[in-house]
Amino acid sequence: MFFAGVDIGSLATKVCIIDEDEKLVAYLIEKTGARIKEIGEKSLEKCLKSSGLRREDLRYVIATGYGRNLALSNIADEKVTEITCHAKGAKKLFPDCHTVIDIGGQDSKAMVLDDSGKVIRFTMNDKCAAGTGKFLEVLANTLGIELEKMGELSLNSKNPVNITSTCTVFAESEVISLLAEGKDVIDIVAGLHRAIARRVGGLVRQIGVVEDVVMTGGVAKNVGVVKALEEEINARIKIPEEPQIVGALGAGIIAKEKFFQI
Amino acid sequence: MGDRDWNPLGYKTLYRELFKKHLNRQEMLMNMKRPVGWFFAFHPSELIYVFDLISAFPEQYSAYCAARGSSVDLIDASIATGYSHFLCDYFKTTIGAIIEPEKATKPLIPKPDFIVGSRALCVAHHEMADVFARYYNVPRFVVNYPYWTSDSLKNVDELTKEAEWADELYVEYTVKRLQKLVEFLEGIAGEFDEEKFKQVFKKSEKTSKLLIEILKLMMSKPTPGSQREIGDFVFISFFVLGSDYALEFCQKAYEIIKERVKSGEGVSDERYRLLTFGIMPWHSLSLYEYCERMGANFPVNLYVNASVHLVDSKKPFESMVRRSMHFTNSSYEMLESIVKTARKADIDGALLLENTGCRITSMIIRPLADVLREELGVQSLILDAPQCDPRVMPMERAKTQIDAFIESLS
Repeated sequence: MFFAGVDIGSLATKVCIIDEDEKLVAYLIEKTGARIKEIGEKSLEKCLKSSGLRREDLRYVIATGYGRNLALSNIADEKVTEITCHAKGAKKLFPDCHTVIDIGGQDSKAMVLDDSGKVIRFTMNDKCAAGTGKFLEVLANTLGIELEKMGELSLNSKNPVNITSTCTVFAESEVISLLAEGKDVIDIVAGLHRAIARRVGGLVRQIGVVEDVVMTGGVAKNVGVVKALEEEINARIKIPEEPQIVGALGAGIIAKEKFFQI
Repeated sequence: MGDRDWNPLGYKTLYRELFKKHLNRQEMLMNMKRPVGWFFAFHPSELIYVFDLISAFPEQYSAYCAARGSSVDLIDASIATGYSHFLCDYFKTTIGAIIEPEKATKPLIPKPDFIVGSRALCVAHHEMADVFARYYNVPRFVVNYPYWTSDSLKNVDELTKEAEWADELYVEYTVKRLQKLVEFLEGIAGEFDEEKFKQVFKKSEKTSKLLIEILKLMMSKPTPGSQREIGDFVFISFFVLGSDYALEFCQKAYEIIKERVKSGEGVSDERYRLLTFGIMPWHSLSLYEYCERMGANFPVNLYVNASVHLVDSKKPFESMVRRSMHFTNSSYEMLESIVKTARKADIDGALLLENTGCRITSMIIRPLADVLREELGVQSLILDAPQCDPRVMPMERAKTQIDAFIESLS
């Protein structure tokens, strides 16, 4: 008996297939692109194929993420918000987890969970992209470095610069000015990580930090942001092996729970 | 989480009648060349009817523009003139309508012959009255209502605004200012008619009692009506209290809700009862319906509650003072009256609307959320919801947050 969670985010679509023991059978990460409805379906099919399963083998599918409403019409039985799904996934991976920080492509969120894993408080970033994956993507382009290398690079910084702009566009102009002043790229990257950490740290403090703290979402792969955020909230942050799929994993677990409720 | 049937009270027809009658009155007075006054929330609307004034309300007009989709252009027009994006949404929308009336929703707000400002809700009303009066070069009068603290006011009832004690000095001062307002209006609109004053206040008293009764009935289980319908009560209590048509509206509205409660029907299949506060996002009132369709109903809207008060026709001037005794015009100690109401309504959570378009009502959001959590153990969802600028409130994000909040209540 198998269950699936499909997390259609703004930048990436993630699929997790689990068995009835909640063991991860297969997962997949694809770029979302413009065809949201199709990407959900294609990703699910691809993930099924990779695990040798068929659509009929899935008993229940939960969609989450920004594309969850569209997915409801073709692949999912129900939709659940990514807030609930990330909490569920993080709790599964780290049973002592009480705070989840998720920095995704276009938003960042923080949730506090009770001992049973239920979300009791949450908050999201406001309307701008500062403090999200998009912020880092834009600035990586400006600096001409690979997004994936930003984290490691920043760890070598001796003198991180102070980025004062809270807006992505203004931060881009600020970075260009800093480059023109001859500042080291490594120090600028470290400064950007601190800027994102300050912003997300503010969100986390709004709801209160309760350890263990787990970080999910693509930005959790950036060791520079994680380090800066640990300093900002004064707590150690646990990172899942594949932080990007935690929402989809949570959706899969909820799919199983819903199936057995029915 | 399914989409549940939505069963509003059906006040839409009543509102249509009310606005039609209000506009007919305005037209009749226009033909009689009566003076046009601009007024703000919490000014004594009864005086409009005593002096046969043509009334215009910048806040209500801005809300109307937001509901009809023109506020964004008007806000941009005001910003293009040099007003900051960070100013009050109602101010920016009105200024936009003054500068570029061709972009504003019709019927346009009529040009004023005079302006009355007050600070019974918002200190910026003074400033707005000044800017508008200077623009049109017309006289303006200000009623400087007191800001109530626990040193001047004790144990106010959240709906009636009856207080155990109110400092006489404050009350006397405000009564004097209101009497001066009457003199100011006499200078503009002719002699004060004592008998008419009494009659208008009798109507106002009846209307206020009905409004309060309706809001009490909203706290029934299940919640009988939708906030899409109840939210517009602020128009009645702020702007047309004392009119025949406001009384008529409330009489009919009361009968409808009374029957609804008697039959035990709710606006939807109720799963959760939420308290709400904040100026309503007039461009996106579907927000309330969205929640209600998921079974999250609103037995209490503190913004509407703040707008009502019990009028005593035997003490008209004191009644006019009492309308300023609401929690947004008081120190945070006054939040205890909210807790009583919330407890009575047996709420499961709260939807609180923070607003870049209004600093005054936004400041209290966090203390209110804290008080509700500490006293009642309920969580609040705080949403960014400016009253006139939908660009600052992407609906999809708001829906995600609402969905997650409702999931967390499950």
